[in-house]
Amino acid sequence: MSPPTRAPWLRLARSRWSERTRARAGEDHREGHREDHREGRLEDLWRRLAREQDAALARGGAPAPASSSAAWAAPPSPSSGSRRKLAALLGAATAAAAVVALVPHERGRGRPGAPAAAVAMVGATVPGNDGRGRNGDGSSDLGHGHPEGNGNASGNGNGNGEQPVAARVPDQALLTDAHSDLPLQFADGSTVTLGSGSAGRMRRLTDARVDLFLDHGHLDAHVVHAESTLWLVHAGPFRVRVTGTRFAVRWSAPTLQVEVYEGAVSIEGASSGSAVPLRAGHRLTIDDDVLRTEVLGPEAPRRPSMVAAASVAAASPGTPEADWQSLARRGAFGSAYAAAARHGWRSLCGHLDAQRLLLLGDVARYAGAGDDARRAFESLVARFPDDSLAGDAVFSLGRMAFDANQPADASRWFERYLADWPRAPLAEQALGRLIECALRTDDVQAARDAARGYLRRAPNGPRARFARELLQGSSVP
Amino acid sequence: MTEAGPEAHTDGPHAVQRGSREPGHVDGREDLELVGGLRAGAAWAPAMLVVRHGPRVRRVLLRLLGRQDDELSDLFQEVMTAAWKSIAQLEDPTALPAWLTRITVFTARTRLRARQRRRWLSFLGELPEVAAPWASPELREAAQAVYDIFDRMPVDERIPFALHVLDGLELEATASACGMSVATVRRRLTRGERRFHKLARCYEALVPWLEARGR
Repeated sequence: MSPPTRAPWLRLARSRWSERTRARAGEDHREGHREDHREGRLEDLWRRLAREQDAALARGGAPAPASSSAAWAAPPSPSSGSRRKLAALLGAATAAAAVVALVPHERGRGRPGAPAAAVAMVGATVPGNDGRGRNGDGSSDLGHGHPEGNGNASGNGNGNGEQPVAARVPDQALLTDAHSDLPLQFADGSTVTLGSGSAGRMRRLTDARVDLFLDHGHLDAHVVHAESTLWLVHAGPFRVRVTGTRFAVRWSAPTLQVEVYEGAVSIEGASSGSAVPLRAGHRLTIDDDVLRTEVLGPEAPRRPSMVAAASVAAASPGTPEADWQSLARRGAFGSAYAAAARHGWRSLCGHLDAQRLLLLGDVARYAGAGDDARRAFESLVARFPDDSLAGDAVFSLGRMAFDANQPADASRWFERYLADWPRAPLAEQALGRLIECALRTDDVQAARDAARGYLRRAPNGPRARFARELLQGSSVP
Repeated sequence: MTEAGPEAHTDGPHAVQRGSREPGHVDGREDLELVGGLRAGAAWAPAMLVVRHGPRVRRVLLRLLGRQDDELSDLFQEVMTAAWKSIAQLEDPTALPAWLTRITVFTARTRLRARQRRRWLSFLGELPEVAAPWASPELREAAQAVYDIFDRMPVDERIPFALHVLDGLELEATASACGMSVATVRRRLTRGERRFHKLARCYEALVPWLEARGR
């Protein structure tokens, strides 16, 4: 096989480097000549390895070439766990900046160039159908935003400056981190807010039908009634059929909870086999096939999961403390940290509410002020031990100890997280980290215990393979 | 859109594609808008960061780690998150690609060191590694051997060496990506090359690649 031609610049660069290398090594000309030949063969190997890596990345869902201006390099083996982690990582540290990453679902993989390789973005309106794109499975979808042919892939939309939305693709994941909501707004005025720590998928989005899958967590929806559009929210084996209404769905297998604030929905998939209608002012809970309906109390929030974001966004504008919060919401963590510190860290830790304490801790963490971050998180845990946000703080404390190579401390935090919030969205990650903590402290038994716990919770999680190897004894003594 | 050039996996001489990657493989003006969006907290911006620069990051990670598995996905997420959260520290938005590469290298370096620690903790020896599943059958043994050798190299030697030989980065670009001086990178490349050649002789799968061409 004749080697492919190398680009002239690369040949030149390699040649120069080889010359310099030889000169520094003091090799004589003859040795250098022989090295050149040998390196020539190795260059073939390097080139072929690189090419095969590129091909593997492409097979694994790398972006479609050229024509797809908004393409996502799919994880090589995306699991629900890794998608959740992606969300946790990609999610905004600020509650107001809810962010989503739309990751190709498994069904969309292995079809380079298919529309499913593109990506959607969030937080803005989704315009109407452009009549293009079809999925690999044959379903058609709206061409929301980002026409491929407009030559504008800057993320500013369709080139007319009006739509800040990029492209979209169905059958891809909607993800939020533990601190952020994700508001989605649709052209017909409907809105869906994916709550913090949730994962879902938009499988179909057409004029006639919307299929939204809630894999985990909760969402709030306000669907504008339209005779021609069928809205379905899927949660595990259940399906919520929606007409114009305002409602919330919470799904954490095997428990489904639906609250209806306006209008009505029907829930399909219950063991009875028939659809269960649910009217405004009622809550339905299905847990292990036990179905329970109840009247919503007057204290029921209208749109519960939006409270967190709103509470920060409108926390206390105009007050001194609003400075650092607004800076944090813009992602200027260094400035936010400096602004917060001016108000007195101890004072803030002593009187902020849980939501803002969490934000304060994150601000310090992202600004690299580990000690202050710990103070904020520890204040949150001490002052609001029963608040679910304390779980986030505990996890953050564990992560910080882990990153600081303090595995014993990290273990304690992660164990507490798992003990107090066993169904929290980051439990899987906590278990994974516990394995590593145990390995770092050379505690093989604890590592294996953690591995068992991990496999029980996430048999297909990102660390499942390692956990199995560990239990089989191939990874540790 | 200029996305195609550097990241496309089209047929053709591989080296040509590699040559156009560093730096600034997308239009600098677009990166300007992207960085602006990230700094302003625009909802579309983080995903666009992934869309536009994710393939580069993923590729560099695979070059450095040699594994296309969950670990790569985890690191990819870490890189993207770190970039997004520290975007305020990027002074020149047109330098976004090089900046991302530095974050990628830093992240991979941390993981590689952790791997070494974990290996050290394992009294029975090395943790089993994935046998380069991305490689074709005819190259798999050689690929595995290459990354076995990489695993035996000091991390700060391995990274510039892998970037240089596998990703085709020039000396200056390698230095920039590694956050080292050119002189330091040059020294490490020299040592890395020597070490690689010395170790490669122990691997049967690499012997044919070490033989002089035309002999």
